[in-house]
Amino acid sequence: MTRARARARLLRMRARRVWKRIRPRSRRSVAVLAVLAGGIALALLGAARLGPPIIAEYAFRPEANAATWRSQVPTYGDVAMCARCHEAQYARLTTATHAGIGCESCHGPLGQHALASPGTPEAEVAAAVPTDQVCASCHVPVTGRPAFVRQIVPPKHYVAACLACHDPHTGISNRPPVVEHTLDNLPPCITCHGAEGFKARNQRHPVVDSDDPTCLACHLPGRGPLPTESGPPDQRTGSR
Amino acid sequence: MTTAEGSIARPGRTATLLGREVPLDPRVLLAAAVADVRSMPRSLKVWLAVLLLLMGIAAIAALIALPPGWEVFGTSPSVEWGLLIVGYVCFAITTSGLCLASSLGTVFGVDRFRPLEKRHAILAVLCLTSAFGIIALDLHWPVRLLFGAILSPSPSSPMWWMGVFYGGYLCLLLVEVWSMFSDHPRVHQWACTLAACMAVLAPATLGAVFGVLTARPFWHGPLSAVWMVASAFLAGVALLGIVFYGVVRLRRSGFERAGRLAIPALRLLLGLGTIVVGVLLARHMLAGLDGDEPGVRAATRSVLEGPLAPQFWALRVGFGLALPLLLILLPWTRTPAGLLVASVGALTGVLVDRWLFVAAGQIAPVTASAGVVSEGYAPYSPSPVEIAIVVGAGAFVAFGYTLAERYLDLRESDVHFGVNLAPLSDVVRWTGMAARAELASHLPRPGRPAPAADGAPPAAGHAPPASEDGSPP
Amino acid sequence: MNAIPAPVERDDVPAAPSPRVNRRRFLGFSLTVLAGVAGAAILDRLVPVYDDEVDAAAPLVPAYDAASKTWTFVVDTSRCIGCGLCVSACKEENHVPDEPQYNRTWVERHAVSEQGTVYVDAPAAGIDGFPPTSTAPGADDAAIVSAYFVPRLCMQCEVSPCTTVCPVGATYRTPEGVILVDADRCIGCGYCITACPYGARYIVPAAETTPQGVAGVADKCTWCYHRISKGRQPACVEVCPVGARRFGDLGDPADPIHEVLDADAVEVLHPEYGTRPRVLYVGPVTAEA
Repeated sequence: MTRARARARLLRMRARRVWKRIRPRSRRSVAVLAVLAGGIALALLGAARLGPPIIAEYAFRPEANAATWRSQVPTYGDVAMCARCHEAQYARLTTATHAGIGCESCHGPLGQHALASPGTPEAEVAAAVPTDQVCASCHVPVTGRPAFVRQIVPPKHYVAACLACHDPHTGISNRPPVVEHTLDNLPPCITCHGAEGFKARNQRHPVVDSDDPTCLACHLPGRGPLPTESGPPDQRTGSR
Repeated sequence: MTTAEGSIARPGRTATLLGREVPLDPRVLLAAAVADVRSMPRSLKVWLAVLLLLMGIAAIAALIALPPGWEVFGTSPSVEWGLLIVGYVCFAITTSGLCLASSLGTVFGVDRFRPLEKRHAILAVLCLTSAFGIIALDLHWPVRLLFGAILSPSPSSPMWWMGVFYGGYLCLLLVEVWSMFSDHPRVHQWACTLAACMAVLAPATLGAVFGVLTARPFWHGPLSAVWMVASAFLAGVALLGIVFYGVVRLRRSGFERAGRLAIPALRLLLGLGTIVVGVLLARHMLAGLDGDEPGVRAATRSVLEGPLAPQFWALRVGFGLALPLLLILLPWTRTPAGLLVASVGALTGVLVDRWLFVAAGQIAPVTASAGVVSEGYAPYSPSPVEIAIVVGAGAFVAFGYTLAERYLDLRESDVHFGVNLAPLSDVVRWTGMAARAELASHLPRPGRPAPAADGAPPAAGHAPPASEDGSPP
Repeated sequence: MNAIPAPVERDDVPAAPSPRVNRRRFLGFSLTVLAGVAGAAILDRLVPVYDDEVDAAAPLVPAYDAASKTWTFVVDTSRCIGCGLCVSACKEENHVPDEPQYNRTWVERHAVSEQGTVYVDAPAAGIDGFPPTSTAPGADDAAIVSAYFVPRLCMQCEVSPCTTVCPVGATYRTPEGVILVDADRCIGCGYCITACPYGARYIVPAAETTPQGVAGVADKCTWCYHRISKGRQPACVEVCPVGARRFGDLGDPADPIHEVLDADAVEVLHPEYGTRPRVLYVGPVTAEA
């Protein structure tokens, strides 16, 4: 105890000595400054501890902010959510060349649509129906685009309306062109179809009997690729 | 209570502000101000009116730029820091340079730098106020900075330290100005000394704000801090050169000593500063051309031969380095007017230099987004609002200083103390004693199980003395 | 103030001090109120409102344990076809401004010439896909020998310059390693934007807001933090038609992300900055990326 008291006395003496070093006429200013500085510090500390939430909660809390980020409502859903209702489309999507593509790649954001219960206005919001523009964003040749995605040159392709022939969910062209015409008394096939377009299209179609000498130069009757690989859809409309 | 009867005839209560009696009654104050404006010479009236006009335009620009008015700035995600950052940097380093230059008189006691004492302090406070005003307008949420910097400090950020140093610097400058006019020489001495220390720390940290960024190779490197301090010194000296030319020319108070001592002294400092900054600039450019990083080469090229080249060669090198050096070296231009032109050149050079520094650091885009890479250089041109704010900040400094020159006694003070380190040594001594006492109370003493009460020294030589137990020496 | 008598309205004594004092006090009071209102109006524009209230919307994965996740993002440049679906999906999902200079993710095309020069172009950040040939200046005359697309996003660096330089600690790293910005504490100084070597950040313009509804603050890719914590993939991964963007939990041995990582050589963009990026790249990537 005496030791502590001696120490306190020593401190007092030193403080007094410091105070004496300050000129009498400056003491008031120094005291005011000291009180001011102490007051500001106390006010800040007090505000941070006890003050209104604006200040008290300022002390940074990452967890709370991360929670606000987490609570953001997603705009996009995911494939699993779509598959719960749209089984048929999902089944086709997973079996063909478009397998692995999410529904919202083409249909746009469906988060609200998927979460809504059937019958509510949100569920009635139709998913965007993809246009040919969506097809073109992947299937036209562009410098840098890898070759594993089939690329077409629209003017050389058969018709510009993609979905007229292709099932978007599988990507497969499941029926031949709707334009039917006779094969007699026509200019060479290539005149209209173009070499490339004809070739590309022809791979999926039976070679029919024709009198066209241009065709016959390469394709003897019955010599073309037969529709054996992917089932019979091409056969449906019969020969042309 | 007495203010109710206050009138022009009876000034009523007054307060002492920076060594002048200022009436507290607003009507008296207004009347005195009106009378004083009437008595001003015509040229002074025009000068003040022009400055007021510029400040008014800046005030309107500032109102436009208040949140959420940030779109009026010409900045973009590629060039996030624009003219306001440049303006802030310029005013902030000029402040530091003023203290660095005048510390030769105020801190180190070199007689011929003494005339700078009061004038530099006024200018420094004004420049730093301008700098803070500009940065507050540049920040999108300035008030959050006050809360955030204090309540969630971020010591890893150079910008946070810059705030600490410049904030402390402003406090020291205010104490310096107050003590200067209220005759507190010892407080003044301490404030000057600490402010001079801060004048090195603060611009160095400002340089580090840029220097730590690996993403911007043109800024990155330890020498950015050195370059910033050197630029600060040159800018401060140049501003003092302009002001002291005015003091001598207009025969303001203390002009005899200013003309005889300060002008040659400033000329010397200006020459040294120009050479140092020139060498650092040359180093930066050579290092940039020699560098392997594509970003730094592109940035350096943009300065030397790209879109920034005209400003670099004409303003920075020609007007900002070569001309001042020539005027200082040639014997027949060693006149106050020569110093004025050299100072204007050097100051312009530093301002353009900081502009080029900030602009070139961002001109080589880090991202190819939005076709920026196709542009080659990231485009940025300051908007009228940014220009008005920076020009207005300069007008504020000039306006404030003109008023100070008119109303305050800016002669150097008679009394000068050397740096008195006695209080500091006391602190050191006491800290050491306390530490030793603390150690003593924890260390077991050989052969003595309990702390001794008699104060006898312990056996071992390195053990602490027992002065804490006994009476102080 | 005690010396001032009680306010009395008396017209017959105009010279008496009390009415003058009262008028002055009234004027002074009015001015103070006016100044207060003006000050409050200005403060209202300047002072932030801190709102850490969590939205009541419960996450779909209630027991999401942030600390147990080691999220990894893998970009396969050999698969990217530059369709731009990821860019538009990100803007939809995360309230990113429509203007092309604001992006959380974007796609670049790198065209390498015979001489080894890399021509980089990203018209409108790649949101509408790419024209047939590179739009970078000089690319027309160059003999392009190879080209590929490089999807870009925040690298969520382990040694992140952005969190280091923020003066108020408003940007931070979550336990999973995702770097977020606290929009209520960001001061909008732009330091993190100049500090990011990957150009992954932007300041939200005044006309727009972050997902939390704040303008004028820094915003960046969060790896769709609100989605991954609900068990979904980031929006860009969800819509990528070719699997060029993959996302998964490295800590989960069953996660398909391991297939990609095991099969190919993995690199990161700009390793020279030493930021230890956590977005891994598979396929061709040039140093200038």
